[in-house]
Amino acid sequence: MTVKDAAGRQVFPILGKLRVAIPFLACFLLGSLGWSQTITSRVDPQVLAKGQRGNYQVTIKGISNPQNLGGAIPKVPGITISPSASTSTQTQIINGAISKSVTYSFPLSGDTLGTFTIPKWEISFGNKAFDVPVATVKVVDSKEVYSDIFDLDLHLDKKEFYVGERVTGKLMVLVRDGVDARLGGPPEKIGDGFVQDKLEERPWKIGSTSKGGIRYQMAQAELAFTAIKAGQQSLQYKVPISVRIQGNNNNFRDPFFDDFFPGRRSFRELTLETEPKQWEVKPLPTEGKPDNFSGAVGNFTASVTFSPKQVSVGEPVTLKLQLSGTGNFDRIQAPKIENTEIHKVYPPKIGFVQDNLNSSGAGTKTFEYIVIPQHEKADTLMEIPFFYFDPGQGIYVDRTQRPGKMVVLPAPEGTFSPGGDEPIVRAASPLTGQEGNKETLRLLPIQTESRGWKRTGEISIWTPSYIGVQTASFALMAGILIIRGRQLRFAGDSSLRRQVTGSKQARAWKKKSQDAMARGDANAFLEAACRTLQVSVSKEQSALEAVALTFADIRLHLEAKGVPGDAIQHAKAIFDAADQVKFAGGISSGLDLEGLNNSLETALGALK
Amino acid sequence: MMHKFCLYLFLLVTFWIKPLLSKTVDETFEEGNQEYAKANKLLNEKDAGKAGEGFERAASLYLSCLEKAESAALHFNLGNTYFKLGKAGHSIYHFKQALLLDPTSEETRANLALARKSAKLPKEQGSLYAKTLARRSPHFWKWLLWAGIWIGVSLVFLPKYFGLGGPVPQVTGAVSLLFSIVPLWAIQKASLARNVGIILGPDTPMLVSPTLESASSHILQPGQEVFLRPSKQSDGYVFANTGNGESGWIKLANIGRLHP
Repeated sequence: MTVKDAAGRQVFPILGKLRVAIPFLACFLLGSLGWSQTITSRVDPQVLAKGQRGNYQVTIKGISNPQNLGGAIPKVPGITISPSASTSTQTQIINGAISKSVTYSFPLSGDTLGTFTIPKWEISFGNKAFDVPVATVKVVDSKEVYSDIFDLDLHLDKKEFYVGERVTGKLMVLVRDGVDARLGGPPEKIGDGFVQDKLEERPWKIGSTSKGGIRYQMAQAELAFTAIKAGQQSLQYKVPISVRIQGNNNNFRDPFFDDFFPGRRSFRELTLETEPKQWEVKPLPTEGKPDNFSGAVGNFTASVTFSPKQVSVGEPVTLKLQLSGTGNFDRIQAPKIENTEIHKVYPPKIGFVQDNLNSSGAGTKTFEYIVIPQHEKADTLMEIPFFYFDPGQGIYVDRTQRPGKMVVLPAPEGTFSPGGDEPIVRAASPLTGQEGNKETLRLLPIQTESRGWKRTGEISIWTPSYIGVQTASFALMAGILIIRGRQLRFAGDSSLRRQVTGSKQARAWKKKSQDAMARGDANAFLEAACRTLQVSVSKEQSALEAVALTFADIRLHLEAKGVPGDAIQHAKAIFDAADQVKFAGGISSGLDLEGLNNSLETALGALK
Repeated sequence: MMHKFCLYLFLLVTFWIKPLLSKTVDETFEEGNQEYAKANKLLNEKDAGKAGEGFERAASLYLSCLEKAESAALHFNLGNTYFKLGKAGHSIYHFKQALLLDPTSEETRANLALARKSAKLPKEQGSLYAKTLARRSPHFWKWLLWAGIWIGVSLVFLPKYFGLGGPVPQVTGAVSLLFSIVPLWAIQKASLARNVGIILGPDTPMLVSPTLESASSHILQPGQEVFLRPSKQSDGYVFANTGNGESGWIKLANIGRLHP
């Protein structure tokens, strides 16, 4: 919509831009005004224990405030409905449309067991009368309140079928209306008598249904199976679901659900299972079964094409068998075509296209063979045998295909295409000059590319690389075994571990003493020298930690080892010097570090 | 000064210019193929004389490749060339050698069968080894042997060292070691091929003693297989026996010796 002035200029361009939005705005306004009132009714919960209280809820959509209602609630024998109602107001915004409703809740209690229907009745407000639809409530014994909340049902389209026959069916999950449950995953098949087709990515279709007057939420999945074993075969399904636990105001007040409330957990995982059922699977009849039966069961049509129609000897021809129809395509084997003296046949390329996305099983399967005529006489392509079993009629159907004729020309003389043959005449051997026979032989042509050159005479089996890899493997294995063996020995022998670590520590301290001597740091030298001796002794006895060893301990150890007295005196000189420095407040002037270092070497030498 | 110049010139020519001027193996191989193709065309045009010369040139080029390096394709083409020249023994020898280098080649097997047929040799009765293990190269078997042994050793010893319980690894390792016998056997059989020789020329005599004057005990035909005893050689002769039980001395020049 545009508005233009006398000169043709657009005056209110904004109106033009709004013309797309106007219908949406109108819908929004109409929706928010609430043009009509609709009335629904239900009993919550739908199943009551005898004596339990529930609510008969009448919801009026399209009003925003509670109104004074006219009309009388019908009396239903077996249940009691109180006329005094509580009200609640709900507001919903769906796709921009505001929807308001008022719910009137009438207390209800079940007096006798049975299923009761509250009939249609008339309600009036604002000088208008409306029909309240029928509602149903079931009153049961208190033990049965929680039965039939969930149901999982499997339905197959046929009761009897043949091995290899593809059968479709439905799996239905029912959850009583009002129970908050979610599907926890795809259905899981139990039973090895059937192979199930791959499910769609989102197999479940959500809807609702009514069973015995009770409303259920429903999830339905379409399945397809192929029976693979004859006889009575069982088939069951499991479906995981999550049920929301609603606290004290939930439907599950039975002790059975006490387990569902550990701490704050609000969801409970359940697994539904179908009832065990048996199906009669009949074996394929042996009578009339063709030798080259492909395993196809269903209803198929077959056609064959080939191209090109004219080839030379050695050139490939594509022979295509196409099978269409419904059935167990995945189990159809490629028809066997044997090589003949005049035809060379390569295994086929197999393709499959499903006709639609549902589980009808309709589709088209193709087998593309490459056939190479080996002779000019190979102008008639071989027939392709195809038999299938029709489960409807219970017979085998022959759909063998016979391709037509083609033209096969002789191979071009003197050419050698890859894979082709080349002619030779032995009689023409120029060297022998013999009158050979006139027989024409076929020799495969020379190879135009050469890869993998090796030096002539090279020993090809025990190459240096192989020997190198062997040696490396051996070294790796030996290394692992040695290192691991050492680790294990350490783990089991504390004295060995102490000796090894002690030796390392002693070397480290000795190095520190050497460094300190080079720096002229007497304090550090003496500390390191003492620690070297302590660690060297400690690694050979486990009684004391190295740092706690005194010279007296070291002397005892040296004497026990039979170390000469002068070596003990050298060790003593080091400890005495250390004490001297310690008691002199760290003053170390005048110490002969080189002499002490020699003493350390002597003492260590004696210890070894 | 002049001496030094000559020395440098010699070194330059020997180590730099000469390799640049000489053809690579691939180039010579390609030239051989070209000669073969031309000769083949002449043969198709019924010009047998020129075709024969062409095949001789092709064979010469292929043989000059063989002096430097070898490959399954080179032996295959040599087999074809000798076949065209009517030299069945050489043809069979080169096809056999091509098969040793590439046992998977059905083309080589087909041409070998044809060469044997044209030489009026009986169809080869393949042993179980020839039908199964010989279809893989010794390289395949040696690496399988390596894998089998080391997997076996690892599974037998390492679990114990790392405290992994249960007999499954040890049993699996033992089975792996046991099955390493198969590649070992395949390698051993392949290495036996080095003692196989192919008779190259027609009417090759099998002599009673390794001398020119010796009487012949048997006459061998081109392409026939003989089993050599390399330890028994004398004056250019080698002792050999056929599969039919005949044995004697054969001139080494008359034999094409296979090497795996």
